[in-house]
Amino acid sequence: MRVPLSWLREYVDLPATETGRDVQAKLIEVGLEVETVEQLGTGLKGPLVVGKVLTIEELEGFKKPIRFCTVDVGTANGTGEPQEIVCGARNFAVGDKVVVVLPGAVLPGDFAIAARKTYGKTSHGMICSGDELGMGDDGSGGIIVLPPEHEVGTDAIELLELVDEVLDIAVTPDRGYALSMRGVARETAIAYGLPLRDPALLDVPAPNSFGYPVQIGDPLGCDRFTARTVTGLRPEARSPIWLKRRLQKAGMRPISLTVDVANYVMLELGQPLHTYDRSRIQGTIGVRRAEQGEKFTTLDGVQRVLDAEDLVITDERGPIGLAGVMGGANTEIADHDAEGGTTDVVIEAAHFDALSVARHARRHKLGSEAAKRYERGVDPQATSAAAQRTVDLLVLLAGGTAETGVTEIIAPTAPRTITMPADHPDQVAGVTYGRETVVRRLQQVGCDVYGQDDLTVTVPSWRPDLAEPNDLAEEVIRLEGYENLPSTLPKPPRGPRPHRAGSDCTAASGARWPAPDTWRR
Amino acid sequence: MSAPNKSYDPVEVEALKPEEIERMRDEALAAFAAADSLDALQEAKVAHTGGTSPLALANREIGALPPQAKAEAGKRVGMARGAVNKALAARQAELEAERDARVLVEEAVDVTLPYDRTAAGARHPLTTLMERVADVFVAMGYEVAEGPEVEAEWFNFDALNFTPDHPARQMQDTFFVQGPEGKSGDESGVVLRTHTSPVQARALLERREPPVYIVCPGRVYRTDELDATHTPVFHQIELLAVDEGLTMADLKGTLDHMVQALFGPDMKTRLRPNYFPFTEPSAEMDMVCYVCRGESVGNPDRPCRTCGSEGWIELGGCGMVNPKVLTACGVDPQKYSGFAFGFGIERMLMFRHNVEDMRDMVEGDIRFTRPFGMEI
Ligand SMILES: [Zn+2]
Repeated sequence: MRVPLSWLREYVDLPATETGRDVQAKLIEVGLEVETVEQLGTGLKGPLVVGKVLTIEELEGFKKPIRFCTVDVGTANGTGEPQEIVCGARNFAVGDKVVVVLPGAVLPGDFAIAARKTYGKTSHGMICSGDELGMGDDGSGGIIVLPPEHEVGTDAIELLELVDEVLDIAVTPDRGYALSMRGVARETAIAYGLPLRDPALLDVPAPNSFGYPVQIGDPLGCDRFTARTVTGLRPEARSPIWLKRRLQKAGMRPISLTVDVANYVMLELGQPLHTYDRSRIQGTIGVRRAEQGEKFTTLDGVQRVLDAEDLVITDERGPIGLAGVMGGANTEIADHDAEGGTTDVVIEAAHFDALSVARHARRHKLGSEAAKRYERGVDPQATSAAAQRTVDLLVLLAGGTAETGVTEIIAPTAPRTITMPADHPDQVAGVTYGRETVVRRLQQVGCDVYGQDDLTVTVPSWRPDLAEPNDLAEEVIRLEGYENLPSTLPKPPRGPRPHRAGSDCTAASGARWPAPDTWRR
Repeated sequence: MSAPNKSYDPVEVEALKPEEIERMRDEALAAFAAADSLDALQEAKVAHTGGTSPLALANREIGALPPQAKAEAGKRVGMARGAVNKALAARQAELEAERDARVLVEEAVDVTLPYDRTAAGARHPLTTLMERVADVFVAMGYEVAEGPEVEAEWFNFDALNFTPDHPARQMQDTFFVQGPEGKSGDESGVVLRTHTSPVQARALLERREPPVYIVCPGRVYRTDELDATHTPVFHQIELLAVDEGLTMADLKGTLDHMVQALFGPDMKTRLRPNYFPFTEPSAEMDMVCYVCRGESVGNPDRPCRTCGSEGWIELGGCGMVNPKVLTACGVDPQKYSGFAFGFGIERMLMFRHNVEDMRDMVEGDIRFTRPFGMEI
C-alpha cells in the first residue's frame, strides 16, 4: 500500500513539521511495515508553470516530426512575451494548456534547464511530459495536457503536487484493513494519539425499494450488496489533477473518470467497487455460483470457462462479472472516444466471501487490486459509505445526478465477540499492563469492551483477523510497544546434553567440505 | 627355604652365613651394573630387592634366631640391603640421565625443515555456523530435534494454522512432490518442507507433554531462482519452547541471549509486529548492527555496508506459539504457552562474514570453504 503523506494528512492532523521518515518510524512501532519513504520532487526547482499553446510550426526535414511552438506563460518569463519552445511530442494542439519548464529550472534527476539551440531554432525551455516531472505514467502517451480551466502562469509544482512523500507499506495478510487510507490513517491516529477523521463516516440515505433490483442467490458468497445509480454523466468529463495525482502516487494508472473514481474510493475506504453501464445491463442483478462450463468474457477480452465454484454477478442474460475480480466486457463503461459514451452507471459495492474470491482469482489467474483486498478481508459494513462516496464524486466531477433509489441487501450476521480474562495480554507479554490499559488499547483499535475480570470484546467489522484472545493480546502489546517488552530468560528443566559426534576430526585430518553436511545425508 | 624353629643353631641357617649375604649383595650389585636400560633395571630391582629376592628371604630368617645371633645377623643383612639400595638408586639416576639426554637428541624438532603433514581441513561454514548456533541453545538445556525434508503438507502447513486458501500459503512458493500412486504434485499432500517449522509440530506430538525446549537446524526448499540473495535450497534454524507460563518477555530474553552469544556481550534485539499463521502475537526480529552499533544511522561520513546504515539487521520471524497450533499438536493451550523463532543460516553467514553472493555457498568450491576452517 502506497500512502502519500499529503493524502494521509487529510484524515489526521499531523504536526506540520512531521516528515515521512518520522511517520514511518511511528507506524513501524505500531506494527505497520513501512518499507520505504519515497521522496517525490527532490531537487525540483521552478519556474515550472502552466502555459497556453499559441502557435505550432511543423519543422520539416528532420528524421522525426518536430514542432516549433510559442507558448503564453504569462509573466513567468519576466517579459510576458510568448515563450519559444521546440517540442518533439505531438499530442497537443493550439489552445491546449500545457506544463512549461523555463530556463533556470531544475527537473528531477539534476536536469538543469537552459536555452539551447536545437533543430535550427533556440528552445527557451521545454513542454513537459509526466515522466520528465517524475509523475509516472498519466495515460496521455506524451506531454501533459491540462484541463482548460487552469490559468496561464500558475505554478505547476503546486498544481501537480509534485513535491510529496510516499510511504510504501508491506501489508501482512492479516491486516487487510491497512490496504486503505482509512486503515493506515487509523493506525497513524493511534500512533500519534490524535483523533481520526474517518472517511467512512458519511451521511448515507436509507435503503428503499426503488433502487436497481438485486437478488442474492448465494448469501454465503455475498452477504452484502449495495447498488446505487448515477445518471446524466458527461461522457467527456475527465479526472481532475488532484484525483489523478493521488492515484499515481498510490501506484495506479489513471484511466477514465468513472474507473478512476472507483479506484480512488477503493484506495480511500478499502472497499472495491465496480461500475456497470446501466444501458448495457438487462434486468435484475444477481449473485450466484457459476454453472460448470459456463462461458464468460471478462473486461480484458479473454473468454473464460467457469467452474461451479466461481462466484459470478449476473443479469438476466448470464454472467456480467467475476465477483470481486473483474467485470465483463458486456457491461463495460464506454469512454468518451467510443460511440455514445456512458452516461448512466450502476455502482456495485459488495462484500464477497474472502475464500471464494481467493479461489476463483487463482483459478483464472486474475490477481487484481480488488481481489487482493477481498482475500485479506474487507470491512463488510463499508459498502454503503463506499457507494455513497462514489456517487458523490461522480456527481461532483461528471455532473451526474444521483438517483434516489438505494438498494442494499444484507444477510444478517451477529457481531463477533471474544471473551478473555482482563489480564490475558499481561500473561502473554510477561508485563503488567493492567485492565485499564488493556481496555483503552482495545477501544483504540475499534473494539467495544465490557466486563471487569473477564472482558467481553466486540471486534470492529474491519478486523476479521481478530478472533482469539491472543489476537487481542497482540493488539495491546504492539500498541504498548514491542520495544518496551522486558528481557527474561526461561530455564529449561534439563541440563545441557551432547548432541553430535562431530565431523571435526575428519576436518582436522584434512577434509574440506564443499557443501553443508545436510546435503549428503 | 627353611621355616623358623627348624633348628636352634644360627650357624646352621645357611642363608645367614656372612659369605652367603656377601654373595647375594654382590650378585645384586652386578645385576644393577649390567642393566642397560630403565626397563632392565626395573627387572633387576624386582629380582634383588623385591619381596621374594634372596636378601628379603634371608631377612625373614632373622626373626627365628636367639637374641645374640639376631643382632649380628640383622646387622649383616641390613648393611647388605643398604648397599644394594644405594647402588640401585645410583644406577637409576644414571640411566634416567642417559635417557633424558637421548630423548633430547632423538625428539629434537628442526623448525626450519619443510613440513610433510596434511593441512587442517575445513567444514562447510554453513554447517559450522548452524552448529554454533545450536550449541548456544544446547548449552542452555535445549534438545536438538530434526524432521524429514520430504514432509507431509499437514505438518508443513495445516498443523501450523495455514488454512488451504490462506494467502500466506501462497506466499511461500512450494515444491510439491509427486505422490506414490502417481498423483500429481499438488494432490499428493507431500512437499519439500518450506521451513523448519514443521519440526515444531512433530516435536510436540512426539514428546506428548511439555516442557519442550528444542532447537531444530535443517535444510529447507523454496522455488526461488538461484541468485546473489536467493537459493532454492537453504538452511534454517528453528527454536521452540513450550512450558507453563512462558511469555513474550522470555522470547525477547532468549533472543537477546542468542545474539550476545554469537555477536558479543552488549548486543540486543528489537521486535517489530508482523504476521505468521503459527504464532500470535508475531514479530519480526532485528539485531543491532554488530559492526557499527547503529552509529552509521544519519551519519553519511561513516556509512555501514553490513546494515546499509540502518543500524539494525533483520534476523527472522518469531512469536508466541499460536494456541491453535498447540491444540492441533495435542497440547492444552489453557495450561501451556510457548514461543518460537526461526531464521536463515545463509543470510547470517552473509552478514556475519561479509559473504556477498549466496551462490558462493552452494557451488561446491572448496576454495570458498577453506578460509573458514573449523571454527566460526
Ligand atoms: Zn551497521
